[in-house]
Amino acid sequence: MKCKCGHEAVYFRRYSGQHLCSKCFSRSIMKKFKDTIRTNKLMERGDHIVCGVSGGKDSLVLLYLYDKLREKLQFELTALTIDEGIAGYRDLSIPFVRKACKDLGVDLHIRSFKEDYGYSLDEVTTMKERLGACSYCGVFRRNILNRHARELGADRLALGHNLDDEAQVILMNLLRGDVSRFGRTGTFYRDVHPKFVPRIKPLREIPEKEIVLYAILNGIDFDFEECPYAPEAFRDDVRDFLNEMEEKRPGTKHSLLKTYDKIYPIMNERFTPESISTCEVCGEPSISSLCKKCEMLKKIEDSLSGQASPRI
Amino acid sequence: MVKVVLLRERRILDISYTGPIRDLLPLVDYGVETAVVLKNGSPVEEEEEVTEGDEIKIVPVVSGG
Repeated sequence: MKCKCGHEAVYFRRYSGQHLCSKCFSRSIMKKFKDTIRTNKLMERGDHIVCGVSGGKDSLVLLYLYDKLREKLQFELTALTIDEGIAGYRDLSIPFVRKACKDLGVDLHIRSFKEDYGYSLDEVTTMKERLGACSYCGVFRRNILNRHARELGADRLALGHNLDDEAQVILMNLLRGDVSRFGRTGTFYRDVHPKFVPRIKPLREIPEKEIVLYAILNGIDFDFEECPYAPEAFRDDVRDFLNEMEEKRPGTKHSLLKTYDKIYPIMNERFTPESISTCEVCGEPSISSLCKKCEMLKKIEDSLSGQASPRI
Repeated sequence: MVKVVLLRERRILDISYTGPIRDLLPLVDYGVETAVVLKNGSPVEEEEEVTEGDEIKIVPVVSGG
């Protein structure tokens, strides 16, 4: 099939019925990225954008798109990578980040769980009684990204969540009956604590498959491994269901996000606290006097110091 | 024979198949939503026909996390 410009199509966008050549496809992704930023007022001229980059396709495409945007708009761009300490996974993806940052001329800062908290994620998972690895990783990653983004002077912390990620989370929270989380997946965040750097997700309307294709067509090398801790039964079920629906009814994922975005302001108003307090231990934003990260760290310390082999 | 390269699985299969890529995908446990397909090195639409001697590379859509 031919693209409307006359060149051979490389992609059929089923939800819009378009056959797209490489150039028109890449242009459409850039346009979607810019439109999402503009429509949702995700940044202003002169902002300092700190981009969380893991070395996977989403965050590298995000970094690449921001770099291209620098040709049109003046702003500061920095990459921030979190090394959770997952042997055989993160150590292999970080070289992709280093290479991209070198090629694009973007400053890179790498921070680690080990350095900040004293434990790598691999060490945390040696605890006898513990939660799922993703529970620790999610809390730690949010904390460390926010703190270091703030220390770097970020106006916005940009993350590479794509349409599939967003659709999955919306459906998971809905199916779980997790109403307070359900009100936290939108495009904007109310400024509830001065220490929170607003998080933005400029790729949230771009399907995961299109991110992969964009990376391939634009020569962006990425790590296509999956995190060894990632397989999570519930998310896998939701992902399979959404993919099946999308195949039968193209546009399902977009519709779900659109529906969510319409009810989000009401959910956010109703379920986000007016203001939140500060953790008495680390001084970071927290719902109670001890933040989730400090609460988890205390349990980890208690558990792992008891488990340690006696020193001679 | 068609050579199918599964990047995630680090496997190369020789499959006797002719027809559209769309119908080849389920044979290697992928689908339209879960794979980006390169035919002889270039991305192609799923309706593209596969013929004798082609090399099909399967790039997994899901990664990271």
